[in-house]
Amino acid sequence: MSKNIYTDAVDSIKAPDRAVNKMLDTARRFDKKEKIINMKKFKFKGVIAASLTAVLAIGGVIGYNTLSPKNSFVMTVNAAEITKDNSAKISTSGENGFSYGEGDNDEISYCLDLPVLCKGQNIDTVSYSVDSGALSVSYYKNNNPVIYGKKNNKVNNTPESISYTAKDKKYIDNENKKAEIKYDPSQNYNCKHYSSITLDYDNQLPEGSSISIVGNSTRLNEAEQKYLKEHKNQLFNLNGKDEFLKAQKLCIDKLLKNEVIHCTIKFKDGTKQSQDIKLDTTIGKFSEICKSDFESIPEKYRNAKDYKDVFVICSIA
Amino acid sequence: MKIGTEKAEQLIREYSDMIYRIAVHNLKNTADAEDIMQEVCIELLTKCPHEKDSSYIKFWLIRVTINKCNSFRRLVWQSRRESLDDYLHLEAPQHRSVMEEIWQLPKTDRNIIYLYYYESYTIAEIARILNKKTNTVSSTLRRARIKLKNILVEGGYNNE
Repeated sequence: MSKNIYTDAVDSIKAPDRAVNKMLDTARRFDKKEKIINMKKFKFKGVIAASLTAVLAIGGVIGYNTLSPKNSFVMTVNAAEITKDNSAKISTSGENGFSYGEGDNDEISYCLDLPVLCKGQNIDTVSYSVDSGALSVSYYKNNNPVIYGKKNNKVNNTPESISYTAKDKKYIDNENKKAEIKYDPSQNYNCKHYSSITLDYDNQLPEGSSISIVGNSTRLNEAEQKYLKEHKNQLFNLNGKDEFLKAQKLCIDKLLKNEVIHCTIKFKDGTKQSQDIKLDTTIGKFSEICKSDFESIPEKYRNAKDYKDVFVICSIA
Repeated sequence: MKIGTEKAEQLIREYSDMIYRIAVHNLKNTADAEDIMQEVCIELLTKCPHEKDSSYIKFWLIRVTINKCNSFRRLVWQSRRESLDDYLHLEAPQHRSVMEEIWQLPKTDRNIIYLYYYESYTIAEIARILNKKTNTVSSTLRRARIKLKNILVEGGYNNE
């Protein structure tokens, strides 16, 4: 079994004695050093505190005089504003953002972390809705950020690999066929599916919560489902050869077919503004698709990072 | 109030293997992993939330180690190449080849697989450790398990 092969190999990795001894020496010698560091910090902290006080005082005056509540909003991705010229790009084999998996009934499910966050002034609530899939909201205990939501029952058959519903109080490891209970009741996480949600602007994503767009291939027509079944192995292929990337793109295109994120902002004066975000895919090199991110990488590491992949593009419709 | 020497020594003895394993998983280089151990040691001595219980401290140490590895990879002056050549201290040669296969997985997949299979953390706990969404972790885990299985089968390890 893969798990046993893996754990046996990891078991054999032991920290070298010299490294452990070095850590222990550092711990023993730490008390003496700390006294010297504390004196330096004390003087330094005084300078920083004085500078900050001055900056805050100046900033407060400027802010008071020039900023007044005015209806405005922008959609952001990682603090960068999305515009017609600046879309969000998410690597499908990267570490975050988009993922897909095979369900128990041969369907393919996907999960796209809601890539946008709304920022602006005088905003009361932010609403999201999606056309095809569902908005999956995970939250800790009773801390559901959704103040109003329309439940979605269509995507209930999303496999547990995508829709981790902690309220089931178990996570069954199907691969091991041991019905191993992995859920820790003390975690107390919940997950609900909605067609549309409304969030308080000041509490869009409280700690421990997450919002994703989930869906699966069951909504596709027979021909499209057949295509996905035939090509699903290519979805999980590790080597990004051109023919596999093309097949992957086609599969992801089908999964995200007609998906649009609708965002509606309600301001405190009762007025509303809307913005739609469409999802596309493209194949390209990281250096071409995410040019500014790529350029921020030190030059010597760029070659390793310049992989070819399928990217999901979220752009203003 | 900083952690005492005695407590620090106890934690180092208890978790040094874990810190090293995570660092090796992330950096694929034993020399770099030893450097990370030192950096984590400094964090432990200066910032450890020692008033918390031992499970929280373990959780905290994992996070610090992964963060240190991420920072290390970004360092401009980090000039060592990722290499498995010095990975000679594994007890059996087959373990070394298994790890070479494991390293074909993306970094996050390796971390999730390690935390799930080896440390037996739940998906919700892994999400908290890696500061990711539970949905992302569960789907990444699912994919990583398929990839791991494929890699091991392709590498000639029987799926008993």
